[in-house]
Amino acid sequence: MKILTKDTFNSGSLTIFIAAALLTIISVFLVYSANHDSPDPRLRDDWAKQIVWFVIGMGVFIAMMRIPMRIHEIFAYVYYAVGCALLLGLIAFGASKFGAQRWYSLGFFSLQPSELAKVAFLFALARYLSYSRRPISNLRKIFTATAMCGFVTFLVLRQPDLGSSIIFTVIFSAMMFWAGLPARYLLLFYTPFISMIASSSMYAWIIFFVLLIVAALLIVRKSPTFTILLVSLNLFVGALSSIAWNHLHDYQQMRIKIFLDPGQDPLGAGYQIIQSKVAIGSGGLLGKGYMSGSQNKLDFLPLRHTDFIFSVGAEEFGMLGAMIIIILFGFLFFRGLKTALKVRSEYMGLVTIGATAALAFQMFVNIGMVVGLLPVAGVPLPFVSYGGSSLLTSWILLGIIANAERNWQEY
Amino acid sequence: MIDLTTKSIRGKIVAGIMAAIFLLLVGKLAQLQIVSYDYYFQMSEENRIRLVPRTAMRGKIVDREGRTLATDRPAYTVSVIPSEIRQLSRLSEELAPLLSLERKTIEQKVKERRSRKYEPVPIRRDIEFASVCIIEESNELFPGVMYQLDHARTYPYGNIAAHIIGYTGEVDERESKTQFRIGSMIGRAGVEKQYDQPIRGIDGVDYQEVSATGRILGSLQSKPNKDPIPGSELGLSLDLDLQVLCDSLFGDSLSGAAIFINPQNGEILAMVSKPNYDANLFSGFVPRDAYQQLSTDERRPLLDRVIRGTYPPGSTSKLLTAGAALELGVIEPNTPFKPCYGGYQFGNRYFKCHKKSGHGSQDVYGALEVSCDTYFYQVGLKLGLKNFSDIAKKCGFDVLTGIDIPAERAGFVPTEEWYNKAYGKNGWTKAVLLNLGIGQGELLVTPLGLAQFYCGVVNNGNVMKPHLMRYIKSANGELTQATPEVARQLPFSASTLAILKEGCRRVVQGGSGTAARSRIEGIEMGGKTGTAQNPHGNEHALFCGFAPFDKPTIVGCVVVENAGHGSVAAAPIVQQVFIRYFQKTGLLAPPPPPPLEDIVQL
Ligand SMILES: [Zn+2]
Repeated sequence: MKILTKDTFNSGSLTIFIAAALLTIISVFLVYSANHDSPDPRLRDDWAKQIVWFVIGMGVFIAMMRIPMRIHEIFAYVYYAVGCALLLGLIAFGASKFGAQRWYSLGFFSLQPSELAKVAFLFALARYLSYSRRPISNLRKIFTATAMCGFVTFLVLRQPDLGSSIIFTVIFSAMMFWAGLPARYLLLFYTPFISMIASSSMYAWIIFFVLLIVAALLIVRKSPTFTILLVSLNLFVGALSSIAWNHLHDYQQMRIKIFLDPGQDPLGAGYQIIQSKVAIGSGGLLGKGYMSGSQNKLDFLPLRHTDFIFSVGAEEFGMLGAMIIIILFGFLFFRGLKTALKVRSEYMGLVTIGATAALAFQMFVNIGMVVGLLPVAGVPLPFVSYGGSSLLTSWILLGIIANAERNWQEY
Repeated sequence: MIDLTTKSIRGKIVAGIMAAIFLLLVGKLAQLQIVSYDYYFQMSEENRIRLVPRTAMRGKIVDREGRTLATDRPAYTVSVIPSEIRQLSRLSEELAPLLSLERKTIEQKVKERRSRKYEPVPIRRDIEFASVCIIEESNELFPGVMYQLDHARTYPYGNIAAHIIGYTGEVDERESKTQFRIGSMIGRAGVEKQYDQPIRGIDGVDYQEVSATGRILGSLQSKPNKDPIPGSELGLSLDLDLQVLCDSLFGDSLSGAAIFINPQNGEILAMVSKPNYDANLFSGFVPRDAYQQLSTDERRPLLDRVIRGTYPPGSTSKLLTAGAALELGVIEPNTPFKPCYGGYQFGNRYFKCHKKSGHGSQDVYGALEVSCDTYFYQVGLKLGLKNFSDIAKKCGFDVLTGIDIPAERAGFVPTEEWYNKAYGKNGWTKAVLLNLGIGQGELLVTPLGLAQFYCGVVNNGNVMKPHLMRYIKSANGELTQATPEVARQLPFSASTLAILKEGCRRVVQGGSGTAARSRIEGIEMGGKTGTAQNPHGNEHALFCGFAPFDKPTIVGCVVVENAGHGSVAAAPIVQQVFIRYFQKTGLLAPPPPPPLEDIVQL
């Protein structure tokens, strides 16, 4: 099969490609600014390596776009099994030999199975949801889908990799929602987490309950039993967590507090976030100029070519540069959503929304972290952060969206 | 109940969530970058952390008995941090007299720095303590100026082995892109350059917190300093005793080169190029005129004659002529040639022998012993140009020896094609062969290349790669030792080699040998003298020698420029160094203690 022909792209997939390519080109420039004169000679060529990954990423993108989705539909469960096997393998001999390890070393490249598992899970869950004839509100169907997600998430958590494991639940929720899961289940599923966090402050907890009851009345007006179930579950989780909280040692409490609010520890974990905020804030409207960011050059920014690459951009190109990055992302996700709405096959729609959600969530968590909105989670910024694993996965996920965009008429 | 069963409503909800996320992020960005811009900009300005690199100690360079040839001593370096300077012209004006530098030099150094403006640019190394004190006292006057206890390279023996050790210099902006931190020191010549990587170590970093006026407040708590890792010690095969002796035998007036090698493993025991220079000149701050003076000196002290000087080998290459002819069966040891009556008639030209009264008839041994030109004119003619160049090339006369210091030059072997090119097809005659046969003419060798050939002759034809490094010992004691390497095999059989060696023995030990005066009581030695014609002045004197004859452990090759005959100027140097060498190995009785004033001033 000829992969590259005149009609490789249609107009929709071409614009997607261009937007992501622009992000990756920006990435090369930012990585260069961050690292080309690093005191550590091993980092100085990172920008060139990023170009190599970019080229490989484009190849993978085109392949993902051109390989018929049918094939991924057929092999979806096989993918899932392979993904889980790789994760299991990592737990089995990774733990005994190297302690915590998240990747297989392939010499030139370290393979992160959790990245592969993400894609595999996407295909597998879409296949299950679109093939099973039971309605989505069927408890058995919900349970099976939850188990599929739970198993792979558990394996990733065992590595332990909190950041990645959250992405699985996000993909899961997005696809369940897209499959038409009634809102009450979503409420039941997510509110206890919010209750747990809100319970740390009495005010927050009271406000949370007011909102919860309003939401419950709005969404599930006709089922008082459900409202009672929902509220009591939240009460229970909230009370339990505040009791648990009071039983924690001071240092344990401190750790959690710092995780949620890094500002409380300006010299430790909070240091990175504070420096990142200083970098972004001092960039102002137009930035300090390319390769002139003092936060970048003075070595204040930790992990500035990977997790904190956005801060480098925002310092050197200001709000203007930051907005360009955000708008490019926004465009990608908007296209993803449009494609998911347009496609005729349910399977494709689910896969597309899952891929879009995975990318969007990572972007949100990463930028949210560097601007100080969210806790430090160690999630890279798709297309922009340095690193082969992250870049390849981003391009694969985008290839899936582009594939659906090209073949939206298919059933 | 909200109906989630239609796609379009779900789409709207997703779009809404996405829009909310974007609003949230954009809002937060606007808050940071627009609303609180002044606050964060101020914070980034006050974030005056200095990244002060801490240079790693460069490893010592020692001779084979552990005597230090190069080491780092503490010295103050004054640096300027470009990003902290307010007014460069005023600063350079105030700083220039203090550092005894020109204003231009300071400004140039600061302006050269295009990246990493937040790191100090070393302006002046090895500054006097008094100047440091002035800077310390008036540090409010000099924002962006700092001083630091650093190292300066020092070479305790000055001129001794300067060409081998080389020197260090600052990394400039262009180089820093590819390898090292700008302003750090890097090996520029000699083993300092060759082994720069292991010697240099890994620099550390201090994170200092500095007030807006430039006062150091202390180190930063949140970022621990990185300690430098000192470089490895480099152990050379050089024997300082032989090196010093050989250097002193040349004295200050003679120019030339000397090289002493252990032929069995290629270890270089002494290597002298004269005139030389004081390596300390380059170690810290080099006054421009001092360098100028060295580089324009007519005697070319910066040239390492051992590896870069090319000379006609003179009669020392008669070994090559004889070896080639014997090996190819062109002559037998006792093939009769026209006797020597003081020269040889070729066509309408008369080629003289160095002995006017002539040598009479002789075999190859005798001809080598007395170095009869008439004999070798005829051998050369009989051998032919093609054979001669082939064998010379196989012996490695036109390739690098592979010594472990940079910038070596290869010798030159002329061929028929070369003569055709240089003089035109009919522009030359077989007469060139006569000259080549006795080592005059277009064949050129470096002293090291010539020595390597002799090493091969006395080491059963095995030509070892000459090397200076004996070991590299890292700061944590890890030892890497040099392994002897065979560079090539001479194209001579054992019987040919035996004949050549015997000829060399007679040169020194024979009654009428040309180097008979340089024999050593108690050690049988071999060698060959040479006198190379020099179109620019007096002839160069050459001598290659080896000892002990049965299983040589040292080969010496000496070239003394413009000094006339090899037996007079060159052979005695080899003799003296050999004597000291064998006194040290125990084959000769140790010398009487030298009078005090003769001890070299160190
Ligand atoms: Zn003669």
